[in-house]
Amino acid sequence: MTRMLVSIRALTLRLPSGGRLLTVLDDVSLDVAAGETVAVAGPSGSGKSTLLGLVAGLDTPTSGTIVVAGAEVTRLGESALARFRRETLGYVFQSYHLIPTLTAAENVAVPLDLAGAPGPAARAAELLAGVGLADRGHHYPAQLSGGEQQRVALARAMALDPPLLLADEPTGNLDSTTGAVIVDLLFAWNRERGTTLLLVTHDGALAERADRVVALRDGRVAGERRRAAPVP
Amino acid sequence: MTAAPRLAWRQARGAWRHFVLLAACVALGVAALVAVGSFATTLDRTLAREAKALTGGDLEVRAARPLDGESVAALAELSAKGAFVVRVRELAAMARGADGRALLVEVKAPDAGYPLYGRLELAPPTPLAALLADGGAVAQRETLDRLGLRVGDRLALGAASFTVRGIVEREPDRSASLVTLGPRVFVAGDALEGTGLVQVGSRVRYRALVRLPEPLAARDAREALARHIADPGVRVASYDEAQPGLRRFFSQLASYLGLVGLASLLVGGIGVASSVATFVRRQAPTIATLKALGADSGTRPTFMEVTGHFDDPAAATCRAVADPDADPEPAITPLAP
Repeated sequence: MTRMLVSIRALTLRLPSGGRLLTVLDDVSLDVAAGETVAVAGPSGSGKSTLLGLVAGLDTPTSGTIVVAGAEVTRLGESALARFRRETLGYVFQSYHLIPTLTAAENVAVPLDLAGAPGPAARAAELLAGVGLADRGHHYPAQLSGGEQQRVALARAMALDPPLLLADEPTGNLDSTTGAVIVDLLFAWNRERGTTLLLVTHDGALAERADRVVALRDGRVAGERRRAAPVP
Repeated sequence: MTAAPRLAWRQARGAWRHFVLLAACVALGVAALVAVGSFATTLDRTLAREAKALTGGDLEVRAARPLDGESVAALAELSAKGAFVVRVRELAAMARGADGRALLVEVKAPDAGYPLYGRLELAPPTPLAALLADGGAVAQRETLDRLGLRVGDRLALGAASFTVRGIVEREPDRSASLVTLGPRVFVAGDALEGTGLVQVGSRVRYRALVRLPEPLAARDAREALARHIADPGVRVASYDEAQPGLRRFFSQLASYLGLVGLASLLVGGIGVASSVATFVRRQAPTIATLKALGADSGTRPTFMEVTGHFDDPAAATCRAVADPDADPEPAITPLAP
């Protein structure tokens, strides 16, 4: 039986807006198996990024449950949630969100520092080399191109080798050539390390590389399809 | 080093301008207050140290008319106990040079023995009595300059004419009063009568300066004198309470400067608060990112914080839903490095 790494059940998020409640996500249920790659696609405003944020415990749903690696995310306390984020997931943002005052190597070392991992500097250098930025470790984010910043963000997300990688429009701010490098890295980790990948994208070509595509529309699951044949 | 101090150090390194500004504001404010405090203390000490010289003696008896019988008797009693008394008269008068130029001056006519405390610096360095004898006068350099005179020339005061014999470089009991009517001219006490300036109605200040013998305390002597002298027009002051106007002025100046210092500190504080607020505001995305990476803290980051919607998450979501073409997760505002 396939082990589910992520199980989302009847997830609903309503936010107050202008004196009424706005439904951002409506009764969303989704399972992601360990080692699977799942793309959440849909138009802007369909709630796909919000879904990713809820899985990471960055926001609290109005109702529903999210279980990730056996942990009920919505019931975790602050400390447990921080530990959950450190140990269970890596998060890649569309806008990279590198810390501007830290060098590339220091940015990659942040999760290692937070987890108290030994030799963070050496490990950060190793991770940067893995994304082809061995010689850019001492550069600040402002001195890097968009593609380089996203590669640093990828190295940071994978620093603690999490079982789940959440990627929110990872190529949204990049041109197609640079974006392809990022996508290749994401799927390479999935193949080589078995990292489960849950990504949100507008990009049809990127979505097609995932094992499964879940379509969201107006906060509801509008459809789902599996990839017909494996990508060569 | 654990993660938190290491991260804090790295953040501080990137925001050194904020910390320099903060330190500069605090340092400047504190320095201003300390400077004002030191200035006031130094002034007070100087006044205390120079009090006898500024007063002209241990005691000063001062009146706007000639000291009458009871004052004279009281001073005579003090003299009998070993005190030394010098009488000084001061008045404002017009001095004229040989070419007819006139200048308002402050005339001082002391008896022999002046000054009791401090040094009267003269050029040439000759005793005052010797320079003033036989119709001599000494004046501040300004007097001579403005009247076009030199040492040796004649200077007229009222009906009398004097020979300028020297220049006053420094006068111990000429207090740093805010207003003076003119530069100083010294003439001998007995020569003042010849000028015809001392008449009924003249604005003459009569002073008696007293140097007390060792066993007599200035305050006790002052109280004894004050008991003897009933005339309210006669003011008796001991050196440690002299120059009340000057002390009050300096005290008010110190208070004013202190207020200015406090105001500077307040303005500096606003600068510090603004700098810190800006720093913290700029750190908000970093803090949110750190939390998303698993940093432990008491505040739970929201998804909107991490993606840059710090102010109104509902409004941002509402925008996204209302306008499907709009980017629902706009890029976070890039931070200045």
